[in-house]
Amino acid sequence: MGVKRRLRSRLWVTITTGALLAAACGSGDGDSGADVSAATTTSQQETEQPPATPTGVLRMTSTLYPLSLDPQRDTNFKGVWFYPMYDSLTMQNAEGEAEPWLATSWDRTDPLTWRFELRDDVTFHDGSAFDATVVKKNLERTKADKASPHAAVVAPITEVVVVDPNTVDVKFATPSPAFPLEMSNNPGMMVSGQAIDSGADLTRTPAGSGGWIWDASASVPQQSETYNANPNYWNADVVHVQQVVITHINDINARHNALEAGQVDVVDDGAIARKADLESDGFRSITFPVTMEGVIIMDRTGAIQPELADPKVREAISWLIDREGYLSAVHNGEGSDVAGLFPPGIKWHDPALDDIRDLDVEKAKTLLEEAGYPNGFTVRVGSYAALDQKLGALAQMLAPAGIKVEVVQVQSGVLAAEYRQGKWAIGYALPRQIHPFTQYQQYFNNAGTYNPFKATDTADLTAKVSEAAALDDDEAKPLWDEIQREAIERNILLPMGHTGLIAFLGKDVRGEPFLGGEQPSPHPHGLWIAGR
Amino acid sequence: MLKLLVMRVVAIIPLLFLVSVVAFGLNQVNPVDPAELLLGSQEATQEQIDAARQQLGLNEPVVQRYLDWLGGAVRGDLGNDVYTQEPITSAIRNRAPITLAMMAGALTVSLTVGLFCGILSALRAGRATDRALTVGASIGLALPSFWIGLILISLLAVNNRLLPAIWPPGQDLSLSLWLKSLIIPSLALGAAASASFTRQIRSAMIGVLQQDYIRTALAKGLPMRKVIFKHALKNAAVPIVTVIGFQVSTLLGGTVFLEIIYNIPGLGNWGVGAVLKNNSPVVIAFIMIAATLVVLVNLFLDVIYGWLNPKVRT
Amino acid sequence: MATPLIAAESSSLTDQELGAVGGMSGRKRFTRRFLRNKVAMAGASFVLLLVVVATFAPLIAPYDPNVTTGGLRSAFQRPSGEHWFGTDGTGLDQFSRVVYGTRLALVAGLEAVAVSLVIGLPIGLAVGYFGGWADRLTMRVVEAVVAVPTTMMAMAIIAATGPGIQKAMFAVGLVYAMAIIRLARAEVLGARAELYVDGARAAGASDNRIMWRHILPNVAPALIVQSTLLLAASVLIEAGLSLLGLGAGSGQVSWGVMLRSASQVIDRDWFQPWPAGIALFLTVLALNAVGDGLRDAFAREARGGRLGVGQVARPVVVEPERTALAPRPGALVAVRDLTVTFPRPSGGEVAVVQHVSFDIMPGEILALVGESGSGKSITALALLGLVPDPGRVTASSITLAGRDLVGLPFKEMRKIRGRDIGVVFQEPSASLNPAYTIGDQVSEPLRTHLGMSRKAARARTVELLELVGIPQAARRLDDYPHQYSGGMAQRVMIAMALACEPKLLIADEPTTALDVTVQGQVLDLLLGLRDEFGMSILLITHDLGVVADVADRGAVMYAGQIIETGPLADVFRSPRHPYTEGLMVAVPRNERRVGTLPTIPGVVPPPWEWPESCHFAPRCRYAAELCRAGPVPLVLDDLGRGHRCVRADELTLRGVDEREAAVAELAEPIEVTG
Repeated sequence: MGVKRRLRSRLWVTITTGALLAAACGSGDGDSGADVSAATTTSQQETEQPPATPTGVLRMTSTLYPLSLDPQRDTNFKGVWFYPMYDSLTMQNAEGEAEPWLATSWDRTDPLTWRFELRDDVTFHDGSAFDATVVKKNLERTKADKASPHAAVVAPITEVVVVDPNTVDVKFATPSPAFPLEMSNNPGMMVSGQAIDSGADLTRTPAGSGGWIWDASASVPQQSETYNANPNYWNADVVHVQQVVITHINDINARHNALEAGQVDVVDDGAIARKADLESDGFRSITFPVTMEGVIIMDRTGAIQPELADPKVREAISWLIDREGYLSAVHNGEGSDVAGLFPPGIKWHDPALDDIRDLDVEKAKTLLEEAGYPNGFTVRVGSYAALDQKLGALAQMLAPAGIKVEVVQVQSGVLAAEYRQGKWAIGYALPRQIHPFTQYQQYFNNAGTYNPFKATDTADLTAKVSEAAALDDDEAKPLWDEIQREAIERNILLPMGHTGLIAFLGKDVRGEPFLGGEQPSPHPHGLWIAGR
Repeated sequence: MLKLLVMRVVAIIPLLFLVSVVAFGLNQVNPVDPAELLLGSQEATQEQIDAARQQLGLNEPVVQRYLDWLGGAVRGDLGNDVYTQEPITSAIRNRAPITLAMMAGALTVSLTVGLFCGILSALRAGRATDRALTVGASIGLALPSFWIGLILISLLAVNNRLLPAIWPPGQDLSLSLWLKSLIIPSLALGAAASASFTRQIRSAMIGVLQQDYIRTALAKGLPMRKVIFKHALKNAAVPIVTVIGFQVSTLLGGTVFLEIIYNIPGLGNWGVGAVLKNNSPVVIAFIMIAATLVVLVNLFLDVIYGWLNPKVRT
Repeated sequence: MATPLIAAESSSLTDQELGAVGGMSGRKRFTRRFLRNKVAMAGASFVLLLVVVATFAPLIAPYDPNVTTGGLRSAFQRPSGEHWFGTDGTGLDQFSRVVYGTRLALVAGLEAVAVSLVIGLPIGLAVGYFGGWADRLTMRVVEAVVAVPTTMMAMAIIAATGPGIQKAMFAVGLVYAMAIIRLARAEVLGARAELYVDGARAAGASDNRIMWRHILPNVAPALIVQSTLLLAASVLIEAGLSLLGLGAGSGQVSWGVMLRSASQVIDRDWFQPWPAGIALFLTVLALNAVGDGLRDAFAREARGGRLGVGQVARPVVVEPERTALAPRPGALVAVRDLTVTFPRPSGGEVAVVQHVSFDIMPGEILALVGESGSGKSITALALLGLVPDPGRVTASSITLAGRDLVGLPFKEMRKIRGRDIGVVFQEPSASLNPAYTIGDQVSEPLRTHLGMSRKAARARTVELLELVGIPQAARRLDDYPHQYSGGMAQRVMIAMALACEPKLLIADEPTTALDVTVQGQVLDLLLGLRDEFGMSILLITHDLGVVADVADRGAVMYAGQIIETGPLADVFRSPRHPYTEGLMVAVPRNERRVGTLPTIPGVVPPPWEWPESCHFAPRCRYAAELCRAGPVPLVLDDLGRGHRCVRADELTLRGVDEREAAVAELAEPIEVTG
């Protein structure tokens, strides 16, 4: 009976006009992404053994296609296209911490220097060897590229010093505690020194050292990329499939159809509502639970929205956020509704902050009255298709206190620029940072991108942040908890929920997936196809 | 006749020039900044954006950029995709065959269905069959093609694995797989056009069937099939041919949605994506393809028209 | 759906004539046609409902469409008594949103149509009227814009101007303006050639005035239809653009926005897109139905195919007419009790041909005479089994050379048509298929009935064309009908009818469309051929001059009945029916008369007004009480002389000499009706 019901409900979903039109939306913008740090798999214990030599084809999907196959020229969200052919210095684990990959270990020799010990058995696909000089060349290359999406990561680097062939020191102008973690993403992906020296354009000629080698003849730009197993890989234990084919499928229904029709084996960024159905049919799911969604109050000076200059008004808004309701309405109840800036399961989660804010309409009304706005006010917020339901929910949350949120349609490609230009007093924010330092720098630091109105309300926290940044993560934790509390109480970024993305694996995909990185898809490493 | 054809082809050139100016102009006023999208994040700094704009050549004067583009276009180089730097010409080579095949498939489907249902409907005008077909055609016109596409995918590909559920990735598809993959999109795309053709053919046939020469044909004692398929159809085809011209641009528009739901690496989705992302070289190329296609189709139809309607010829 | 109008006289009874007969104005006729179209009426009612719902949305909607009652926690509720269509992903009442959504759908659709008319109409009228380089340039631009799919063009404009429903619909209107320009221009080009424009210009009207006052009203029907269809398309496009985030904002209540938010949560709640989706679907369906209905109502021609030819049946009840006599001995054709009925749109049926009986001897020419609407042409079609659907033909017998044709299926009848019975129709140019060569068309009966090879048929065709007097026949074989003059085309028709040397030739007004000198030639040709082949001819005409010239016997039809028949000389010289007298007295006049007969007031009434009793009584100056008492049978004597007048024996009627008539005819064509 269960199967029948599922089939029927599936058909309903399909026939339903919205799906179609949903398809038409084809979001296509990169900022719907999510951080991938902690991950949980629902796999039952695999008892099967992987094939002795790489066998078969693993067919994966990606919501967005890579604009360039140069890892420094595209965003972390599209990491899935790069991991087969490039190795990163570190690899992120389920708790959001860095683990060894090309780098075997790292530590801070002083607060401004990260020292990485490197593997000595890595060879690039072009035959050149990997060593400390290559790391230096890579970081310097990225730093020189002002148009790289990763410019911010390497901006504070002052110097890269080759200590010995397998040891490299990266020196910074300001403490960068999250740097090893960043090295698990695109900025940490190592390009062959030979390719860098030749000054080659890497857009369609990758030069990595990864477990699979890109196959130019079988790849079509903007459609699909094909990679063949690297016979000389240093970590052959995790390369089980002979070929990896990644196909760009923008539409979520198309991705699911392809998975269920057996045309692909791994689907990224799936529909969370389909989880139960698919699992009972024998598919596996992987959830990536860390992405915060929040409201950022940018106009804290009252330049275009005078009411927001009053801290009481901002606090009133913070008491109106119904995180549980938001998650239930927008995310089918999935995710974490803690008030803090990091959810449980992440190192930086502080249970003491879980209830620091909660839905309290009366309190909000009182605050607004005190601020002189007993009848509320109207505030405009820019939106595009992918944000509509989220901002619609925000409008409903603020309505009971008389704050009317006017959702204004803008083109998806211009909203970020308009935020920077100070056209909007409040906005939707999607912090993906897994480390409190980077998150603070981006969203709370008065020098960050989200301060178009030049507010100076966190200047007093700078010293404490610098202090925490200079410490090792374990030592810094209590300090970061304090900073988080301070940040929350200033009502700058108001979390609406901590949510995640989901990926699905086909019925005959075996092996434990590697997760790491900010892309909503597992790596091809460690996976194989049963019976192929 | 040949001279006329050559004239018509030559006439496309100023049209394309006009199109390129308009398309370039539209792109200039488009507020979307490709540099912004290239960086793909709300967290990009102004410096990053400026550097990206510099690299994309967006800081050069508009006229200069247009002339650069035009200079290349004259030599057959339509420029590169702003985002991926993929040469436009190679993108067209990859994408055009699929979209054109899909449109051809849809036209075949819709003309076949349209002829069958339209003629049947006209012959049974006013009776139950006709009413059913007319209502069916109205519904067919009001149903979006992607909706039909999704149902077909669900039934034929997901629930029963008879056909692919998405366009199979990769470059070298076997012919049989290629044709198999065309079935669902052609059917879905052809559905609305079928409805439209059914209506057009019905009304054209009804008009023709009332003509005196049909009475003459009957009075001559010709068998029914000759009366319908010889005497009526050729005359009824005259207005239909004009309609096909309009359908081509409609079909091209319709491919967009099907390309999305069936993940087809074709022209439609490419063009729409480019419009939304202000990918000007792609937008211009797409509009030019559309214009050329429609003009060429109309040219071809003019030839057919001449064959159908002897009065035009002399 | 199409309710076929009555196709009386060879289905040439147009709506205009029907209207004239019924005394209706054009608008009234239009309204009546539209009201009769059930589908269009259903569509119109739905659109009206939408307007009402949009106007009174606050009264109808139970909730505020933008504010939830229970906050976010009331999201995703399934339909219930409280929320008829459930709630959406933020807890808003879907029913209220559908209700309020009608406002935006209608306003947005109207905006696009208004923009397209305001921009497209003046430009289209102007370039069509003045022509020249502005016209060429405009059409170039229109061509370019039309080449790009509408949605894409609108998207490009919106991408440049930014999203927003007003801007989006303006963009759509701009694209649609191209269609309006095309349409208006084409209509103007057509109208410019019409006489009324020249007339207006001669009367000194300014270009502006001619354009807006004289041309626009003629362009209006096409524009109204087009606007309705564009309205439907606009509503759909509004939803599509809003769905893509290019139209209405999520703060606005639109069906497109509803679909968009539903599409975001489709995996959780399959029901959500349905209310807005169905509202949209029905609206588009309804608007299209109205558009189609308007188009049909404006269209002049009656709908319905001609090909539904039914076989001739025997009457269910054989009414005892005294004419049900045995045929004259040796008759080639004998028709008894031929009746043709058509259903009336208002129900019931009407007999347009009633109990027609006649014989034709081998080699004899029988003239069937009567005004338009008397049923003579339909009688001929009935003989051939070609009465258009939905007409019904019954006869107690139709024999051709002893073979009864009643009840023969299409397959059998078709072997007789073209082979045993040849036909020449009234309009030679319209009766030839413009898409095929003359040679092809004339050889068709040869190949079909005689099984000739292509080559043999071609050779025979040349002979036939030479026979009917077409000069250089071999060279003109591959010409198309439009390259032939009317007289030549009629000769072609005759050649085609004679191809298989039929026993009976039906000539339906064979000379009416031709000029006088050609008329004479064609008639001479027919007579000559009759003598050569020995065939019989059923000559149908309203032209007494023609009849007098060639016919052996005459049968006068009035209002579906043969009211007098007999040898031609008898009928001419001593008519027994007052109607025949009226016809005859009308003959020797020198002026061309169109319309009514001077001696008989009025016109033939439409079939549904024919009385049960004497059909002619209402117009008859001799009519008495007795005439209106009951049906009048045809009284026939042994010589085949007969009439349908109860007072025939008391009246002395005036006649004319048939030679007199023929002489008068040669001097001036005589028309007994228009």
